Amino acid sequence: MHIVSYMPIHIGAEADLRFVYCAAAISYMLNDWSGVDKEKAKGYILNCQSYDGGFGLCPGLESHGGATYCALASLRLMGFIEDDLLSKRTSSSIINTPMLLEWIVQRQTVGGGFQGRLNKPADTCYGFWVGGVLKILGGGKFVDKESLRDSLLTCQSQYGGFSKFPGQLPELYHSYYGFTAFSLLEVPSLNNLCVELGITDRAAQGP
Amino acid sequence: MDSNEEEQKIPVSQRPEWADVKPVPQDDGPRPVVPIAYTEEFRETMDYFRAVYVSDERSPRSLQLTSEAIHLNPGNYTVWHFRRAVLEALNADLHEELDFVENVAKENSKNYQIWHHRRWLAEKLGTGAIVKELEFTKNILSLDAKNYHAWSHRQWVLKALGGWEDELEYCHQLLTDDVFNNSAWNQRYFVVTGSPLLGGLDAMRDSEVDYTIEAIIAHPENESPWRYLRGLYKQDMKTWANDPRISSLCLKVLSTKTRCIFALSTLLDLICSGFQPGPEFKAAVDDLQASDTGPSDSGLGETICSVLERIDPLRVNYWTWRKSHLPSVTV
Repeated sequence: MHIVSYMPIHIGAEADLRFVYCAAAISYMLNDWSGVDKEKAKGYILNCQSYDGGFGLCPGLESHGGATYCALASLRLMGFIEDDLLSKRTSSSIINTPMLLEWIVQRQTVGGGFQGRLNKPADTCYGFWVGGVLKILGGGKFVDKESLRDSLLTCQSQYGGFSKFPGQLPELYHSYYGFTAFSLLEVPSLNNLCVELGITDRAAQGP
Repeated sequence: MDSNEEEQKIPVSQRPEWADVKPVPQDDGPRPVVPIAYTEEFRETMDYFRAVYVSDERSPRSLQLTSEAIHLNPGNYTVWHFRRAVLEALNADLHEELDFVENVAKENSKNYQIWHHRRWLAEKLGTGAIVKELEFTKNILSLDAKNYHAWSHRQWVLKALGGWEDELEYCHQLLTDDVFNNSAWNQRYFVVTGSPLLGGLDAMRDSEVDYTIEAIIAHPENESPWRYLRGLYKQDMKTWANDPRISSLCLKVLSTKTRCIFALSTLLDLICSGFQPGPEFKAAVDDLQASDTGPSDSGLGETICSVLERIDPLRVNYWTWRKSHLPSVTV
C-alpha cells in the first residue's frame, strides 16, 4: 500500500502529519486543492490513529497531542469530518471517535493543564493542541475550564507571555499557544479562534 | 586537542587554505527588520559557507566548513543539505559520519535536521547500519526515555532495515525501569503487532494480556497498561467484552477500593460492548458509592458513571455525558 505524506522541503527531509496539516492549511487558505491528493492524505491520517485512540506523527508512533491536532484539523479542513462530531448520532465516522474522546479527556492532568502524551508533565501549548481537538469534536464542555485557566496562569511570565512550564522564561511559541488556549476558553477579552487554522476568526474570514 | 578544534580557533579568513575564496555576506536587504547580532565567528563562518555553497564546491575543506557551521547552528537545514551533497561527491566514509552526527546529537537530541541526516545515512548504509542505529537510539533514550525523535527513528530502522530480535526484551527493560513510560508501552505494541519474528497480534495476545494484567495489578492508577490492554483487542469489541480475564481484573481492582478510575471506565466500556456483569460487580461498584447515597435501581452503567463523576471530578462533565449515552440495554 502506498503511503503518502508530505515533506517540509522539496530537497529531502522528514515526512509526517505536521506537513499533511501544512499542506491542508495552505490549500484551504488558497482554496486550491490541486497539490493535495485528499484521499491519500485521509488514508495516511487514519493510519496514524494509535491503539489508544490518539494519533501519532507517523503510523505506529505514540499518541501525541500535537499530532492529534494535525490529524483532526486536516480532516476538518479537507471536509472529511463534520463540525461537532460528538453531537451527531452517526457511528459512521472515519475515525474511532469514542476511543479518541476517551484518550483526549484523560490528557487533562491533576493540576489542570494538558499533557501532550500519557504520563508526561503538562505543558502550556497543549492547552491549544488538545483543547483544539476537543473544540473540533464539539467536546469543549469536557474540559475543566477553571483548573485549565489556573494552570495556564502559573506559566504566565512577569515579563508577559507564557512559558512551557511554570517558572521558566517565556518565548513566542508558548506565548502564542497560551493565548490561543485562552481564546478557546472564550475569555471575553480575546477574539474567537478559527481552531483549524489556529488564528482568529477575523484573520480567517476577514472583518 | 584535535586538528578540527584547533582550526575553529583561527578565523576562516586567516587560514591560508581559504585565501582564494571571496566570502559572501548575508543579504538582509536594504533595511533589515530586527537584524540578528551575529558573533564575528558566526558571521565569518557563514560568509565562507555561502561562498562554497554558491560556487557548489564539494571539497574536503567544504566538508570541514559545514562541520563548523553545524556546530554554530545545528538547525540550519541548508548547511546539512549541502553537507550531504559534499559527502556524496567525496564518496566519504559514512561510518565516520555516523560518529559526527552522534556528537552533535548529544547536545541537540530534539533537532529535526540531525535525525533526518541520521536517517539519510542509515538509508545509504542499509542493513549494515542496524546495530549502530539501535545502539545510537538506545543511548539517546537512556538520557531521555521518551524522546519522540529517537523512537521515530528506531521504528523506522526496524521497519526499513530490520533488527527486531531483542526489541521486545528492550521494551521490557524500559518498563522495568519505569512502568509508567508510555513510549515503551507504545513500542511494545509496535513490536507485538509488527515484528516478523513474533507471529502477529493474534499469536501474541494471550501472553501480552497476562503481562499487562500483572503491570496493572502493581499500579492500577497507571493509565498506560489499561490502554495497551484495550489495544490488544483492536476493533474486536466482542472478544474484548467477553474475555473473563478483563472483567476479573476490573473486579479485583475495584475490590481494593483505591485507584479505581481506569477499572471503572474499563468496566463501563465492557458493559457498553455487551458484557453482562454478575451481581458481584454491582456489589463492588456500590461499595464505591458515597456513604450518603441510598440504594438505587439504576443500571450498573449509570452507577459507574455516578461514581466516576465523584472520584474523577476533573472529567465530571464527560462522565455525565457518558451516562446519558449508554446503550439502551444495560444491567
